[in-house]
Amino acid sequence: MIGIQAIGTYIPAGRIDNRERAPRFEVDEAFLREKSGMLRLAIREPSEETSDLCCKAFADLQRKAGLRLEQVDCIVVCTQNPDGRGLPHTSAAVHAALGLPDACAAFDISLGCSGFVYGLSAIQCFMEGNGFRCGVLFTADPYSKIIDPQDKSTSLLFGDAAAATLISDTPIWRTGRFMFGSHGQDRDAIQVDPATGKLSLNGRAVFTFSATVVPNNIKTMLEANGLSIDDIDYFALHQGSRYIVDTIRKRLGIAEQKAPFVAADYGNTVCSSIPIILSTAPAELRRIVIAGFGVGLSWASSVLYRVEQGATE
Amino acid sequence: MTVSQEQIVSLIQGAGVSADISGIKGDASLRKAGVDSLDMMNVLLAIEEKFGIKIPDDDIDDLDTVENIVSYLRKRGS
Repeated sequence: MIGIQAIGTYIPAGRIDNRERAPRFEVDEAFLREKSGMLRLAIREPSEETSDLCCKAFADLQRKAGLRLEQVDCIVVCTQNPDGRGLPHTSAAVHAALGLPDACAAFDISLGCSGFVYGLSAIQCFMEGNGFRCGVLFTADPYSKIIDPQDKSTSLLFGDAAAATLISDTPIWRTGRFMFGSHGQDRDAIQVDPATGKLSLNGRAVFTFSATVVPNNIKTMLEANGLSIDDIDYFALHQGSRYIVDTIRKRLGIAEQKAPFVAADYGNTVCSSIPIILSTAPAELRRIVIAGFGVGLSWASSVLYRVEQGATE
Repeated sequence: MTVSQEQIVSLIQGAGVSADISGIKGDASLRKAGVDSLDMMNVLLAIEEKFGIKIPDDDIDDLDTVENIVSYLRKRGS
């Protein structure tokens, strides 16, 4: 059985305080606190590349899991803000920086906020198909590279961070069935504007998509797993904004403590938002829904089941 | 059945807006009454779902009062 064994994270110490910038955008602290939810945004050092964020998350993973480099069969980096211009792939830079073995496969996946869930399925299938026992899924998408600081719709939301998720044959979480989807026709709703090279976001289109497609996807996925909302201990929803998390939660009829908004101090960290939540999941949680959605437009969800010690399935 | 102002006020309240719009006049600006841009997205979605229509982005600026929303929906056949 392949699944998640441990998760390392890296949230840069640097912060942008949205409360200081709010007057410039004609919003008040109440709006930040109760609506967008992001009071501060984590910001990398200018010298920190995407691969550096990955390596720092990996260092945290090593501290938590005692992982040895020679054990690693494969690494996958999920990002749309790679080192340089993405050629060579960022996972090659991570492979080199960590000094991983020649036999370690390394490749990138291009996805945004749905990337952790897609990436989790992809790396598990890749490992199972090739008989691998140990892989690491990196998520690192520093949007600070593409944010226009004058753009109200994006510059108050996104923070930099990375996660390194250890996938192994001694997991503490195994996954249930996944449900994926895409609305390629709406891909312009979140894109890097070709003219400016900066992120542009159609807030209404993204909100409507999140409020309608995501709850239905979660319901369908739960049905496919033979579960209902009440069977789930916790919902790790992508932290797009407090408003989006609250809207999805209310539409599914979930209590706030089961699907909280937790990103107020670091922002929307794109594909790292879900593993950051999972990295601190209390041991008493037995079933967790993970749901990522965003760029593409794309979405994906699954259930994590806590593996009992000694279970072999 | 023709859509009424009371129906729209009820719909807006049901969308969970933070502002108290219970006594709002038909020609009063929703934005000035405290319905912010995020709440407005929710209101528009509630209208779309209730009346089975899609509201283009170009039409949104005119939908800042209950009267205008009612008028717009009647034009759209609701």
